[in-house]
Amino acid sequence: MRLRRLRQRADQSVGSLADDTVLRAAYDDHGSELFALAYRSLGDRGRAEEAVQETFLRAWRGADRYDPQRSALRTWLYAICRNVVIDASRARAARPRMADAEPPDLPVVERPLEQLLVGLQMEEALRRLSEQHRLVLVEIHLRDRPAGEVAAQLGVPVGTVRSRVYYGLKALRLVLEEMGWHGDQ
Amino acid sequence: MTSDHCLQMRPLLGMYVLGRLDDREFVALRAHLDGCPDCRSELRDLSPVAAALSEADPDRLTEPLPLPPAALPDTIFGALDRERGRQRYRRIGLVAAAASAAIGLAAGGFVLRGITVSGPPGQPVAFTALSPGVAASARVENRAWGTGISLDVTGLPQGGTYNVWLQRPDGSRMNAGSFIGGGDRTMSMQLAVGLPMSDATTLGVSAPGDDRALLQAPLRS
Repeated sequence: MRLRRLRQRADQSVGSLADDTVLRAAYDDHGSELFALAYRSLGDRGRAEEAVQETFLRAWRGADRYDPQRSALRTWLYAICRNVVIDASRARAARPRMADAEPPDLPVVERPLEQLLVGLQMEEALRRLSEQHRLVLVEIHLRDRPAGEVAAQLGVPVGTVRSRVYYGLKALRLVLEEMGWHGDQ
Repeated sequence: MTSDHCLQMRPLLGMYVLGRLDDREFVALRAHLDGCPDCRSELRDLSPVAAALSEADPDRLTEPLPLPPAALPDTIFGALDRERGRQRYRRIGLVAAAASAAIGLAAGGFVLRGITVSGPPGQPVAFTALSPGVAASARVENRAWGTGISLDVTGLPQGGTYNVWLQRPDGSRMNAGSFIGGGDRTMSMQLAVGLPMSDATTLGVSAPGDDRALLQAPLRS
């Protein structure tokens, strides 16, 4: 019974990604996040809008290839968006630049796009952690502060901060897996 | 087997993964890891997380997320409708082509003229070249954010820079970008202009510092 229900649900979403209502729901759930990804990768609102549009067009064209049993919809859309952003960056590198356009103040030129995409995904994962876990990971790992200092700021023993680091990393891994992360493959 | 000892070691493990243990703690953890496959496996799970986490930017994390414009879904699903329409048209085109081929056979070689299958998005414009040897074609598309232009130009002297613009009914121009001439080579580009297509009468190309149009095309909107 449960299996049948699962299968029905899966079938519904496979068949109906080609359907506007399902795709609109996907936009409501993930559009903002995809836009943020595209905007931060491309550094330009107009190009980010185009990238999100292209992501949904490709999703619609490839609807029959989407298998909800293999990946979550978010993961699938994210992967498409990532490819769109990479294509857009390559296309821009190959195109004459508009003379009056702002110089590209993009992170893209500061560090390779792949690294940026990993960073953006990590930030999204951090946002999904509890405040307690996020804080210790950000302060100690990203802002390079000693655990003792962070413990003093929070008014907790340093052992507590260390525990939170450990459980924070575990929680982060779970969140990343839910997001379809395959960082260690 | 996860033991009490493991539980004591786990906070060290987290700090180790972040590279924050002093020598004494490191030795203690190492000794435990050597005899504990569970904790070694935990270490293997967490190390790549910490490595990837280094790519996060703490300042970006506190910035508000950039939000897409409210009109974006309309743009997206509008484009989707157009694509759906094109696919349908293409299918009809194929059926019609097959049908006309069949009629052609029946009529002993008389074949009906093929149906035009619609091309890329946007409407084509007709350029007048005001400079000899220069040719161009373009498609323009009305978008939520303004006008999208897909432009191909041949014959403008190689290496020179040229401006593309949209002209309003009052004669004022909105810059649509610029490009470098490719001589005999066709230069193809996509331009985005923050001017609604209905507000523009002409698409044109000119050299910087010279208002005279080298190419221009009227827009129907």
